[in-house]
Amino acid sequence: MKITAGLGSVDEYVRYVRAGADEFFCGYVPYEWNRKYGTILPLNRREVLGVNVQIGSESELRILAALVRKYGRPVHLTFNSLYYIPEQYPEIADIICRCRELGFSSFIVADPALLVYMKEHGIRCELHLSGETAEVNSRMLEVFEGLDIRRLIFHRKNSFADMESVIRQERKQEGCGIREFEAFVLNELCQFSGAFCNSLHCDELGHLCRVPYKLGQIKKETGGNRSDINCRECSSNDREQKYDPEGYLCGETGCGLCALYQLQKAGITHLKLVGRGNYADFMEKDINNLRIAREILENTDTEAEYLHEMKQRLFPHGCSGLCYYLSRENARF
Amino acid sequence: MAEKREINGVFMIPFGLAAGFADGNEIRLIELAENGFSFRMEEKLGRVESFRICFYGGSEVLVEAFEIEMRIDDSIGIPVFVYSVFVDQQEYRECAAKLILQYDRYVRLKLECEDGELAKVLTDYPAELDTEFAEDLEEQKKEWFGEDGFVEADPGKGCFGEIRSEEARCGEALFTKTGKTAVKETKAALEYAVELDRPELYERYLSMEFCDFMSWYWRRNQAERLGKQLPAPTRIYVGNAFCHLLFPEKELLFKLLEKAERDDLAVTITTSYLREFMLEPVENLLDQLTGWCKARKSTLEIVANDWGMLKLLNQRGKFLQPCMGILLNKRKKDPRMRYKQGDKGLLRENSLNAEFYRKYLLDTFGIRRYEWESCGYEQELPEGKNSIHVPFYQTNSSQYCTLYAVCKNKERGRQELPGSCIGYCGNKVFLYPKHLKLLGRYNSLFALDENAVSGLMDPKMWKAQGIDRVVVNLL
Repeated sequence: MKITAGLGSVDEYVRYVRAGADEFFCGYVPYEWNRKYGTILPLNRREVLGVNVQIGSESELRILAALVRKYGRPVHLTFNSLYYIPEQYPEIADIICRCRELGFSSFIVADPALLVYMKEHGIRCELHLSGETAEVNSRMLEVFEGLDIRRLIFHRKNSFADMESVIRQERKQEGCGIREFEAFVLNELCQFSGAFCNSLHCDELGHLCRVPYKLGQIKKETGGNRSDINCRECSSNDREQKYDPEGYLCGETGCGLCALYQLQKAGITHLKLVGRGNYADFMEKDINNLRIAREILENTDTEAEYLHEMKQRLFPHGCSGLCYYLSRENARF
Repeated sequence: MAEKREINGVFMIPFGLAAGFADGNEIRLIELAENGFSFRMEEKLGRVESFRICFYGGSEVLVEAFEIEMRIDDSIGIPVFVYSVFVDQQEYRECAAKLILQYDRYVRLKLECEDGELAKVLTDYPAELDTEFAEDLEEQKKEWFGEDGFVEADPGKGCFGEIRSEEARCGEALFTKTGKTAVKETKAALEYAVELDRPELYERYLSMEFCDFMSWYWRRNQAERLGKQLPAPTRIYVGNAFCHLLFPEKELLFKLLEKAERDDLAVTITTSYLREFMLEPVENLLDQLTGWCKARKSTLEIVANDWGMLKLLNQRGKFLQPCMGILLNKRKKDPRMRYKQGDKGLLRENSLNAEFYRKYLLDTFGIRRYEWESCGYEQELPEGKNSIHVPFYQTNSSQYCTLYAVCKNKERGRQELPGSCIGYCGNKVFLYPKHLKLLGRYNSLFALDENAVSGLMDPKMWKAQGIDRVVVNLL
């Protein structure tokens, strides 16, 4: 399984390659797009202007292309907003064509209409179906196969059994169907599903899922006493000691390292490590830890052995408990 | 020997805040100061005539008088040409200083403030109201739909925010031009439907006469006054778009179909996303529904919220007619939209306004009807059959139910797919600050479009916007 890491700047490329990343994904938003659409209709799912989450400018993209030529670790560009408006489709096609001229050949797309547009206009490139697209099932893949998808990125809320079944069904197909399957393993475990999250994530307004809320009753007298849980205040006391002296905890915002054995068994070919714009030192540690976990997996025979050794090496004081794949028996150790 | 000059600026201000062009080449400012800026190139630049520097907020400065120095830097893994451009131009100096201050302030706010406080500083978001909650959903609905909370319809105001009063009155016109899309005005009556989206409603409907059910429905939702003003629904929607566990069991579904037939109500079946393990039972169900239709020489509308479902429907011919569901018909929706900065007029359209996409959906899946939600701002609906769901709009959903996670695992983030759910949503909800008019129901968040409440009984307004069906769901 290859490590696919998010990249927020060309300055991070070589550091992350040395840490163990096999490939990258990043966003590029031209100035003209920002000027016309701002964060009202963003080009990808990083819907902010004030944080370094995109590879800024075409000049930086040229530098990135040169880095890819030298170090050989490919970069996929994200054009994965959930939808666009009619005037934007030809504009995106132009941007993609410019990126191809610079040497980028693979693109992550979520909007089915964009896929249709690209096919109808003969824009041939390597397409990855974003984890933000929709629910994944084998019938759904039959629809997207017709739109020339090469890689499927599973969304964040999949079971091993479902992934295994989808991959098995897909591999039964003859011809040039989807051959690569990517799953989330580290960071940014959202409470809601990306494909079904339509709310704002912009500079001036935080995520809607982080607005204060309370668990309440439909009607006071039904269902027992009212709960006073203020869900934002849940915390664990033993948190501090899990962090290293620099304040780092692997998988602090979402972790699926326990699941590597099952993901490999299910047929996953790529492991997604998100975190574009995160503190580069922490991203570097994330990549390194994922590489170590993968090495442990390669050198152990059973899932139990893998879990035992991985926990001892990476989580001697316990983990974040924010599990991507909670159904695992060993969640939150 | 000349003194070495330096920019001494702020490094790596995001490209979204300050961009530049060296003649026609788009460049990233890797350092920005009042006396100039730096950028880097993979290849050496020729002579540059001018720079255009674009600052957040729309200010653009053309820099034609400057001095430029170049050095080679290989710290990023390959040698790149780094240019320092020294500028002595008042307009540039002012814009750069302003941006640096704004950026510094933004970074400090991000580091020091909660999201609400940050939003309050940057917009008019009333963070101080984030602590005011209703006691329970009943009290909340009383405020929304009861005698005190009910707002009379404003003839100049539509469900999509402000619409022109002339348009609101022009129900008899053959064509209403709204922007680029000509919406054909239908002479047919507006159809009203009510959505039965959970076991409680399935059972109630089965156990009551339809008119009694509707009386109970309005009463249950503190919306009796609203009920008195609306025509009786002639169609029911059965099923839940957002949670697969709220779809009726097969036996129950057919009982509902039979009762609707007796009640002379048309039926639309709403399906949710399909997990891989659901494919086989869903295929069986669709076969049975096809058989049900064949026996009656009739058709059934199926709202699809999954691409796989569209494929399955397409394989089963004309008896099951697909509608494009809310989860496939994407749109930006947020109860805080009024505080959002930028040109919100851009939100009027979505991908379905593109003719090539509608043609693909029609040719590939036979989709003729689209399901929309009233979501607090003006929408430009495309040609075709358009149903509008009112007065709530979904903002977020999760296949791993957030309510289940809190009730079972005590944290909303500790999620799993419920194998069998005991139905926590039967008596529990997430309550949100009152001012947001937001509600956590089932596995989703929904916000209230107040204009849709007041505009519910205004058929001309709906028809003027290309809508031929209103689907009421008070959650």
